[in-house]
Amino acid sequence: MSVKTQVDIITGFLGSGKTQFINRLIQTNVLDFEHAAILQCEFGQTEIAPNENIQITRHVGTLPPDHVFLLNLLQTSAPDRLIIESNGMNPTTALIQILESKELQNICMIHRIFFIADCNSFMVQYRNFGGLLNEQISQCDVVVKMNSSAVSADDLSAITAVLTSIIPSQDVYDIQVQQSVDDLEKKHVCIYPRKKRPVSEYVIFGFVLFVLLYLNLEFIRMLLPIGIHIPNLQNLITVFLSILFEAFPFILIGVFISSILQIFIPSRILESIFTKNKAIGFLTAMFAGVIFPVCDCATVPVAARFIKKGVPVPIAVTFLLSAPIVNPIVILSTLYAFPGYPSIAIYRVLTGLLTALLTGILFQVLPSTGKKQIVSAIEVSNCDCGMCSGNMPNQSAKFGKLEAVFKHAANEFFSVGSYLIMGALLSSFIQVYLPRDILTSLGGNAVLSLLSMMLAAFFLSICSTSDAFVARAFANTIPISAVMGFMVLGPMLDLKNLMLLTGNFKRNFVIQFVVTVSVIAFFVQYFITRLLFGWWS
Amino acid sequence: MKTPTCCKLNLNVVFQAFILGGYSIMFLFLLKTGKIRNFLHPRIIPYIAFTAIAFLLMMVFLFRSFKKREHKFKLAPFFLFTLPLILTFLVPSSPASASPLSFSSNKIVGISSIQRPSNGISSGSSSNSGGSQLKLKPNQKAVKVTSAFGASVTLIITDNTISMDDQNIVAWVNELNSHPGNYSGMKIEYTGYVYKSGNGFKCNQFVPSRNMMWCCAADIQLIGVLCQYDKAPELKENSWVHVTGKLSTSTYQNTKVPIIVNPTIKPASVPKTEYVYPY
Repeated sequence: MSVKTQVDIITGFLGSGKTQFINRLIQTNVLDFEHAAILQCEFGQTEIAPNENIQITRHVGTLPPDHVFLLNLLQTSAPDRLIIESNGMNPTTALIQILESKELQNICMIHRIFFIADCNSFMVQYRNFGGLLNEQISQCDVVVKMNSSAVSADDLSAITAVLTSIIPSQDVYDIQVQQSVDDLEKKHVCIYPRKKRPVSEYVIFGFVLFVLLYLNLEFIRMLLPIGIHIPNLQNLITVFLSILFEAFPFILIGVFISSILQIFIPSRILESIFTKNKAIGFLTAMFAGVIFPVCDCATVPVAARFIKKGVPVPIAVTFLLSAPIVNPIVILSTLYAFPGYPSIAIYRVLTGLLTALLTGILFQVLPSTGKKQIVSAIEVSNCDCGMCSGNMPNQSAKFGKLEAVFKHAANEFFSVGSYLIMGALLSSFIQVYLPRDILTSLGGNAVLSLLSMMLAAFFLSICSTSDAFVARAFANTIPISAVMGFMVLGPMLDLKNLMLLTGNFKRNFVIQFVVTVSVIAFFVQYFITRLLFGWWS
Repeated sequence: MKTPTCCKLNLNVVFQAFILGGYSIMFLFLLKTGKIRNFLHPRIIPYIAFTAIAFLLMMVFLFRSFKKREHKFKLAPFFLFTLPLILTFLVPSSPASASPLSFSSNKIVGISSIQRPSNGISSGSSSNSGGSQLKLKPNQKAVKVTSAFGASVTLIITDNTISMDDQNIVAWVNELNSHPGNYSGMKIEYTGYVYKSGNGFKCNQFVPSRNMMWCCAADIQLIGVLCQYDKAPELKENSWVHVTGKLSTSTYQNTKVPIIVNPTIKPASVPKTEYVYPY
């Protein structure tokens, strides 16, 4: 056999219409020019329409077919194309692993994986078998929605929302029972047979990359010698890189802790620590940062992991907000920035914890959304560390778990890294080009100066370990409550970690979070700090 | 009509590995050349070394999945990731420039930012007695001040002259601003760059300044002692000068500050490390 067998896998829950879909593929004659074979691992209500060109094999059993079975099948009949109707209760990865094993990868290759969803029953199945279906959906290339006209528009958009939350970029097709796959073909010509990625594409791509790199170089060289722009462009680059370089180690610490939590700590342990007793849970969350001295960049991935691991959202939020504030390095630097006024450091911790706790409690009281709605599923689809997607056979070699930690960390790094870079870029622009006069000109007005200092804290994204020194520079000209607002909100919420949040959490949650934290921080600073510092002004 | 079986690489993973390897090399390069100091406080350097190694390991572990099945490949995010690489390798890096950043340095607050809150409770228990543990020559005096994070630092005055260098300039400027009166009449000498565009500077005033870094180039603050010099307008902004002069006191933005009068100004070379560190 000179050419590898192309394998298509049809996944989808029991009764979702996998066989119907195969029948339609047969009807459209797309298979006529090839020597095709079908392997059924599940037997539903529908029979495969008999066709003399197509050889149909059945595999009985709950486990996916093993190498021996597939090797035998591929060698005896040597088809150009093998369509496997996967068992609806099996994770797709198990089958993929077998097909990509040493024995088989030389004679076959996976071409396309279809996920079939029956619109009538999908939501019910998803509620009950979410984990399994998440896995199947995340592994697929093409989603086919069967009978989409049989449900209301609202139901359909709910289904689409679930699907796109798991795989934002996949092709999604609607098929009606009576329709043929021809429509599918028309919509997207390359669905079948596969559009090849020609070598020339790689060449073009490499060329474009080269040109861009070269242009960048030329562009920067061109700008540098021009008089007036030099200092600011240079400063912009330096500030951008320094914010980024400073954040990288902490982001890495964050993603590694998150990965270790994911791979070594069973969910139920974390869950039991934080859910047995609400009060103890909140207390632990508030002070966990003491033994965990990392700045705000590192806490975002960890808090997201907590939620994915079943820690209640209010408690994870409390942790997220308080960890950077109770960080010993932050406390020390505040003490030093305001020598002679230890009260400032104390009140910073107190009002920070109060803000964190109030936000946590508010999230507790408000009607909660499920964790699926909060944590973005981006990573479920991306992660191929082999540990993330549910109940797959454990392929752990000697370094299996270690490898998984690193791969998982790399994945998380890439899913938040781009947000970090954007955040650093934005805040360096603001640092370099926004005149500081805007803030100090507001002077004495308590509300305005507090608001503007909170905004400044948000936009400047100065690391929480050094923001006290920047805050001190303002201490002579604006009310102390505004300075405190700067120091308390800064570590909790700034441009850089907002970007990180959007990388880890769903947009609605991020909006809710930002609004809640800002409002609570404002009122805590406006009333409590003025009360505490009553003697000050 | 058959699909060729070449090019089965998972582009996502290949690019991720490329970026991780690039970052690792970038950090090693910055560490090797010492350019990392343009961006970060030396105390963060061990973290950067850790980061370089972690990126390298992540890349090595990714190699094994080069042939894993490929999901949709999106190129756009990777351009963002190459940005730091491009900027690091293709732009000659320099310290955040001597002309202060409009926000993170103290254009407005200027030199008074060094000043401590008014009553200066613990602003360095200064004891102008010569009786410290240090062996002092007869022409020397010692001042004990509290430096960053409570460490105590002894500053030495030799021949009635305060000589500030990279190590002690932060402590000295702090001390001078806390007790300007104590040092009035003494001589002072140090090197800094010319900063004239401060808020409320008179035309014959400038600050021989240094950039002080707490953590990274984003939090640089300018420090120095105000200097009164008739030929100040002739000085070039950002040029490096060595100043020798006599201390006096003046007011700047309603605060009592030290000021250097009758200075001798000599051009100076750019110091080896342009930043100074409070700790």
